[in-house]
Amino acid sequence: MLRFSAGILAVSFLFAGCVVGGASRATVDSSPPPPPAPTPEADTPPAGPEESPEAAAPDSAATEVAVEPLAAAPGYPPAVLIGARVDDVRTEPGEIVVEVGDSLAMGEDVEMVAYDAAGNPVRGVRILANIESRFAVLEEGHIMGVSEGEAELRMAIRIPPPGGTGPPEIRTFSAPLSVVGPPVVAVEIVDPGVRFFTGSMVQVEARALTEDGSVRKSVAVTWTSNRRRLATVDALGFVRGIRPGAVTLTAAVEGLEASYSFEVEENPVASVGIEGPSRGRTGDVLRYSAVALDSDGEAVEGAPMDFSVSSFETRADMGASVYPDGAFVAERPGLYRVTANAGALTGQVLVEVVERGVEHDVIVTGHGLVADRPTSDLWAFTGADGRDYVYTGTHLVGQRMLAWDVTNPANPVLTDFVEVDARVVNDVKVNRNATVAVITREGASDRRNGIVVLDITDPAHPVIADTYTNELTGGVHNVFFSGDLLYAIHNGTLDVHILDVSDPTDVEEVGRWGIDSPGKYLHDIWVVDGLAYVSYWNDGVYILDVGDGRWGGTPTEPVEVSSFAYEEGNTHFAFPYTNADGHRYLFVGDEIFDCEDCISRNGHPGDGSRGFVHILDLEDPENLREVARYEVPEAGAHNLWIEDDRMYVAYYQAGLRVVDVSGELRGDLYRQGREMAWFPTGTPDGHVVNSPMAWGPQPFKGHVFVSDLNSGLWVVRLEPKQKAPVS
Amino acid sequence: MKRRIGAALAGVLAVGLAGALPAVLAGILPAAAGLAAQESPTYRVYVANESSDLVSRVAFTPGEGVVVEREIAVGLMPGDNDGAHGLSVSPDGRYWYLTIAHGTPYGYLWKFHAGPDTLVARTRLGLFPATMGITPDGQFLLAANFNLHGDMVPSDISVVYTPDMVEVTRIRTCLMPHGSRVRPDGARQYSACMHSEQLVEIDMESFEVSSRFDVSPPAGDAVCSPTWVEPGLGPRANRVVYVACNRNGEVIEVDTGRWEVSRRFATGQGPYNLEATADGERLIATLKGEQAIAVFDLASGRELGRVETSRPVTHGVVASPDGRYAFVSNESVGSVRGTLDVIDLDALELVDSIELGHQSGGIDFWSVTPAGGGAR
Repeated sequence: MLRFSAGILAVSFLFAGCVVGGASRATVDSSPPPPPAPTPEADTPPAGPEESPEAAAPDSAATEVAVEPLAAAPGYPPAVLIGARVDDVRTEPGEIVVEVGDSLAMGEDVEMVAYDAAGNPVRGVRILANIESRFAVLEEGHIMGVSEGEAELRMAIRIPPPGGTGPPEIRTFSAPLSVVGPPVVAVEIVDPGVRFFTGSMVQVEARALTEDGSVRKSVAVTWTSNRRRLATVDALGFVRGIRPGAVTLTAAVEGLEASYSFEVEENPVASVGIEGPSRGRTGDVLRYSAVALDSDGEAVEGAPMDFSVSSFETRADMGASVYPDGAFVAERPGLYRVTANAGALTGQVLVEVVERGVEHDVIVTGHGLVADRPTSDLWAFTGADGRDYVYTGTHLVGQRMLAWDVTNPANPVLTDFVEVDARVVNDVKVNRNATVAVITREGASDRRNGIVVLDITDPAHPVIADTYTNELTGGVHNVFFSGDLLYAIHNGTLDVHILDVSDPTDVEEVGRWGIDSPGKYLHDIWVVDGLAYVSYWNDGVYILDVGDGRWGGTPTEPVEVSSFAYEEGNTHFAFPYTNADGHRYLFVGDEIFDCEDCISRNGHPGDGSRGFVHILDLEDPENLREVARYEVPEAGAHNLWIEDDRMYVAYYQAGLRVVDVSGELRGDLYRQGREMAWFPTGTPDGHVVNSPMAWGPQPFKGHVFVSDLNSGLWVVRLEPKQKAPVS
Repeated sequence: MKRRIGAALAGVLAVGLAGALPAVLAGILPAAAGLAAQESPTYRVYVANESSDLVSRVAFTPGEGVVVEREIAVGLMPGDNDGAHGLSVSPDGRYWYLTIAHGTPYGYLWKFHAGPDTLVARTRLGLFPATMGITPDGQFLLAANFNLHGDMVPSDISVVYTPDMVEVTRIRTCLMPHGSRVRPDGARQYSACMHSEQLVEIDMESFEVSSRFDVSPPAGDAVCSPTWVEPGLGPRANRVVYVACNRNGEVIEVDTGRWEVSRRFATGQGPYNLEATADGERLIATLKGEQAIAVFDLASGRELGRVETSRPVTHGVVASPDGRYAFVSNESVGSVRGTLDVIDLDALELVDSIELGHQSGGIDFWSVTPAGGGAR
């Protein structure tokens, strides 16, 4: 994937030219020794001072009117004194627009101009520029579009302080900057698949297509009807039939148009029938179908229809939703009226919703307290000796991987630990045959991190087989096994490094994959059945073909299948799952620490943890769409695992959460009573007392193992909730 | 307050974490206690502990010893290491600045009131912002975006207007810029480029690179891999800078008027950070590879001595304004805590030491009271 190929090349070329051109005078000797490898061309070694600013070409902001420095306030550099005359700084063009993946050259495509109070351009003032945004970056004099969104170009000049004593001050200005999708090459109107009747209303969708066939998200569509007496269309594409006759709609986007013709018919609908369940549980997705009937009681094919829901309670929130496809889901028990609308005619059905009733008790089976250092991720497995083990990592100066014998879940026994030169052992993974484990390293004393491969022939006492740091010095945050291959998340390149660990004593890199996006940040990977799910923070989740083959990928040469990004960003972890009813979903968790709603920690504003689980429909891996979520309002999601239609989420300060993910999923599962159980993983004798900070769950042999940053390893099981006896 | 490392030593050794602390440590504490406490000034420094996301405010009073007065928790992510890396105190002593290096992927600059140690503001910077230099008027802070890991691509110096904490521009310099320092007259800023073999000078009026200087050793395959630039002070102010060549074990003095290497000082393994005393007569180098510091007399060019530090991976150093003491941070390894060492620069002895958080690194001097008066 090379989103930025054109922009990057242009910037690199200009940068190289700038440096080489500036290094004109030798200083140390006439033939300086060559620099050490590796040194890219863009960083050609220097030979001496660059051309002085005075000798350089005029600043791009220089314009027509020269202004002499102020006579007063001596001692300031001329540019600072001239800055006092500046009343405004604007850009030309006034609103900067850059396409995703493209770049604009400052001074050429975008010019910054200072003006005095009379509106005259002011020459000779130095204008500094910067962008702080996830949508665009300013590098080497080029504005580069990262993703669609609104940003601003911040401009600053230096001026003398009031009174003319003291150091110069900075005055800032800004110009709006829009990052837009790639150019629209075609517009198409999607056939709504219904007929247009007098008195009916149908929403028509227009799609703006880019050169690669993708649909651009943010576009302004202008709708027109050629016969407004017969049918009108509003700005959102809602078409209202008025009188019978032929009508043509036109959708215009950025100078391109598409047309759609239809006949408005006399409305034959005399009544509306609706069918569907009359009873269900909260969280159940109930399907309703509606039919329009004419005066003879015959079905009217193609009649436009939409759904609505109402409650008999007077509350601000409805407590239930119905979607355009007739899917209904309730968050609260109660009586609801589902209505099918065909113009002014409706059909209604009542549905009684009862409590879902899936609550369970969490029974604590065992606890392996770790109070001397924070605990990170875990992996449960059956060892070569037939006994059951859990390996746990340690965080923030933990330095160790701990080996627990959990054959008796009621009594986790710490059998050994492996200590490495690292401050963080974030992740632990064991291969399918339980012969090799890998732990990740971050914070090594020599800042060369990588991974450590463990021989776990004796699983109670793992030993180091190899330490691999090549190309992974920046630290590895997460890994995942697929056969003899290990997919490693490297904090440095922010790429997935693919390692062959078939010989645990001789690890070799055999492949690499990453996106080309400024500001990218990579966090995790999960591989199942030839597809890899890569969590790329604000760039979203990526699905890769790593052996599935349908998209031409191999385990060492991944091919991108699709990606999905959402507004919240911070995509942290993704887990695919097909439930017992055959619904296939991708569960994607956020990890958000810097937000206005975050709980205060350490007294700093905006501190704490937030984020939730996005649930994407994975039926078609090429077309991901978000259909549901699970959001605990007061906390932040971390790692999760799904088995037997139960989602186990380590929800940081909200402890372990267990959620019923059976059947079809729509809406917010948290509000639908699908939460089965909750276990606060804090303890009075923890690393931080009474403070749950659940890190990762794994169901294993009838128990759920949960690691908690502050309290170590928990072993719990679920039992149906015992009702309190009635006295 | 934390106990001094001497008092805590038995316990630390008992759990087998400490490694070998220098034997000198046990001997020097009683000697320090003999000084007249009431006449002694108190020196205060701030130290960043990268793997603990903590900043320690440490006070040292000759004769009374060294104590941690306060630990300030920093960072946002309880589940990850934010990486408190570089620390600089404003010239007027009112504020201290901290780079949060690790990021997702961009790091941050945090500004605190010195004393109350409360957060004032923060702003986003580049990839792995590390060391900072501040102009003498305190208006501008220049942070080196070290971009330590990953592909070797040129990185930047972030220019932050400190009153508003606004990053006003970034200046592209080289591969892995580090050791940002502003010379005394505020006219130039310098940084070293670990993987470009360069000393880079920025003109503070235009905020553009004004000079680049090749710091490669003169012959053979030797590599400098510079990690720090320290502007000369006193009689050498605004005329020379000192560059730590981490790889080949030397400090070079660069005449920035003539752009030539005027002197070379052999240091031992891994010179990392440098500090010139306020009078400009001595230069202190931390030796990351030797668990020591080296002190040079800049008039003669002679090494005055080498002092072993309390724990390995010796990182940062600052000198007290009166030139009597050097305060040295030691990262240590893994889960063993870092330390702050106090070294008498006249006697060239370790006089006290204290455990801090983990991976103690960025350090700056805050104040000396009452004797000597005021902030640095």
